[in-house]
Amino acid sequence: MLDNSARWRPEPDWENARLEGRTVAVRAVTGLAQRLVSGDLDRFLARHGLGCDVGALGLASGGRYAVRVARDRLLVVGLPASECADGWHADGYAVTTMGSALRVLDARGEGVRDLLARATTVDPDDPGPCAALRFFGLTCTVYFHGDAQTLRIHVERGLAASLWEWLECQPLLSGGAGGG
Amino acid sequence: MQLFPCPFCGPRSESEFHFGGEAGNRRPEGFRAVTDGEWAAYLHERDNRRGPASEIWMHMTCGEVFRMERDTVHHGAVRSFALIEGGGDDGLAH
Repeated sequence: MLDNSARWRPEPDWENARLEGRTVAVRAVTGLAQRLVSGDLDRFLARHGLGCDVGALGLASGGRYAVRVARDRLLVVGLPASECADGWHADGYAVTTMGSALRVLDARGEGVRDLLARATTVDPDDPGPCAALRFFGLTCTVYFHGDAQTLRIHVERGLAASLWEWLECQPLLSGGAGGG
Repeated sequence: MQLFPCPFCGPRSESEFHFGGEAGNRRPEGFRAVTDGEWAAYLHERDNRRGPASEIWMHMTCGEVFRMERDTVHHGAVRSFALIEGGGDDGLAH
């Protein structure tokens, strides 16, 4: 009888998962409030004081910011439901909680540009206004967070283990995996 | 790798895009009044022009659907038009 139980490894223990390379290290970020906003983005940003949204490889800072993932769509980090409820808002936008849908990884170190070169085809000098791009062949939201050596990647939760396995195989990150 | 111009994101790898068909292939209206010939033409008959072509494409990462002018001989992507910004107002979007 076909037994697929050994075909895939268990998911990493995301709380403790770490990959350490000589020039870059990757860890999972847990507990982030993630919301998807569609509609009149300018009014949403103004109402919640989020300033400008961040595009591909843009630099976000702090614990509360907005990332552009489509012409009329934002991924907002750090905005709690107590401040902005899910559903349609009269100002012309809709809000959906996405915290359980997306896994977040941080890659940090001077090698993040090399990692980007391996994972994407985006031109780092002209990445464009939209942070949704193919990373390791998966549609991810990719930008810098805090500084230009910390790359933050939001990936669909069901595909995160696949991305993690790919990262484990990268020469940049060879030298040991933790929490897997 | 070939770069295609998404009207919103800018130049991106062709692997991020999905072909949506020839622009201007309108679905016949009229339900039961539509003949099987009209329906078959809508489904199967294509101009498949040699040279400049106008096509519908979708950028899979951001979801933008747009019209792109492309040359079917040398495969050069000439320019793209966002449907939401009027790129389909000439009747070429379906």
